[in-house]
Amino acid sequence: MEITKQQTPGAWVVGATGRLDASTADALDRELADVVRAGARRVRLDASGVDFLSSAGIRILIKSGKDLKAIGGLLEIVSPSDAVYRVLELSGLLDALNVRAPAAGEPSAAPDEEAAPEAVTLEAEGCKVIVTPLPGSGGFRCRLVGRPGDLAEGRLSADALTTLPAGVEELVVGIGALGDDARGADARCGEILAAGGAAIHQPSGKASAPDYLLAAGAFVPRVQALYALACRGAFSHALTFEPSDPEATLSLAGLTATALSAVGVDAVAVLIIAESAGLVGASMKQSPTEPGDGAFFDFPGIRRRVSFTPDVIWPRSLALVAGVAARKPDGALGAFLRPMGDDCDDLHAHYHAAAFAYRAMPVTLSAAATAVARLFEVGGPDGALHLLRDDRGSAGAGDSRFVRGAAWIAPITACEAETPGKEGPA
Amino acid sequence: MATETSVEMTVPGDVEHLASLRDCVEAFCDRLGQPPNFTMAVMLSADEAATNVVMHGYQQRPGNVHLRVAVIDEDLVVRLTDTAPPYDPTRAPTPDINAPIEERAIGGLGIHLIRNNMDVVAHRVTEAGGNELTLIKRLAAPQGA
Repeated sequence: MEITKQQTPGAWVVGATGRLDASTADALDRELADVVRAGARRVRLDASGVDFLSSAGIRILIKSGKDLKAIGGLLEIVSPSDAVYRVLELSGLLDALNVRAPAAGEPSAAPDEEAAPEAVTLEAEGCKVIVTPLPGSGGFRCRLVGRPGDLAEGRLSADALTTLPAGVEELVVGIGALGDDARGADARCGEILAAGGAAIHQPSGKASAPDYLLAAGAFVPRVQALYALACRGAFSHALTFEPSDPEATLSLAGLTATALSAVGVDAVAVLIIAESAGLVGASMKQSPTEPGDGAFFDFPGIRRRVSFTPDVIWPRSLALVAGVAARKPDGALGAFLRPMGDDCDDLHAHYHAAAFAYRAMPVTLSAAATAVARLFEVGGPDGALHLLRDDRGSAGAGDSRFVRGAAWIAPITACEAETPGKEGPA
Repeated sequence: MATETSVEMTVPGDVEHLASLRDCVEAFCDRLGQPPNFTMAVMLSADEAATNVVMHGYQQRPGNVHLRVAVIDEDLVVRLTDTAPPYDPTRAPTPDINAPIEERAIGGLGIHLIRNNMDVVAHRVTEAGGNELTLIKRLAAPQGA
């Protein structure tokens, strides 16, 4: 199969010639993913030269059509050969794949040419970042659950557990455990993150792989949180990035700054799925509800309670990162966020990450929930942690960094503080 | 004039060899003087069946796919045999071909295309423990005109 690609005003035209069967489908899949990565939102597949199409090829057309639709784009099949038209007709896909009838002659400019939103290409830390507005009005409402300050003061107790849903519309980071039932959850409390229908929990205590729950059908995972940023809504922008300099990687702070400026607001919810160049952070060795000797983060007790990554960990893994970031956050939200670094221009954030075994998963723009579900196709995460920047000069591990990947962003449109359990001093 | 009434071919179970199987079917149908629609329907069905065997039956393990195409009375009979673990594709659920693209399941379309292009689809487990899939389609026009 021969494939040509050409950028024209309003659309990318991909021409395919030859057979589109199980032996050539992967090649077309890669080429279509490439043009989407290059910023294409409207893609016309010229199928006049395709003399054979089987379901293996149709699978790629459906996948690309779905992925493009999810980012406000469109896949069209133009000038299909008789063989292509007949098979797509039998498959009931003429409308879904926007097939233009074979006798329609020269493909004319579509009337709704402006339908695909404008993608913006940015440069950050030697990486090319393409930001695409998503259809609809995206935005997240954020519940500020619990009092993270109580953690530092060693005053968190199981009474403070709040049950939170973690479906495909939720994005949650906090400390807690999975499940419907608060009983027994307090002893296992550790980092939790949830996004796109997946909820992940790194149990405190002995080192083990995280627990996870996935939304399926009517089942919505639930988490028990001591405190959490619990956002609900839809993403407004999707972003892909890859190195433009061969060795470049994008830092978490750099990605966050790009996200904030692309959306043009002061607070955003962020979901990242990316190939990690190394993560830096910490996870709890002891549930914060365990009785301690003094404040949770005080030395030397902190060494029993928190495990810091001595160096970057999980390079060459696939990282799922969820969090909330803001510039100069106010008191209520600010209590949940930490400065991203001295040189980061008032950026504050709270990110949790889970690492999955690396596999060649082309990170193309698709719906966030689809991308999250794909991560779990071959198993759960190997670990999860709270991302922190280690700024101890040359001895520090620095920031978490990524090679290439995708992120979904939305402005935080409202924050509601709520304090569960017993009322304490304000 | 003598008309060839059957042809057989064995290829390794690898997607690279699907085109050879299709070419074999196409050449046979052309020699029978069948119209292009008929030929395409049979080529597509044979390809879908063989792809299933390669992708889901052998799954990278070595094995062959044997094809036999024959005319029996007024029917064209395509028979594919393999030594992959027994699997009956005729029992696969029918995809909802009216669903919008967001809800389209990826998979199940192959057997749907076979059912729609052939008159009979039958599976049996061979004595050797592999699969034999028989696809039958009534010939488009009488033979030997």
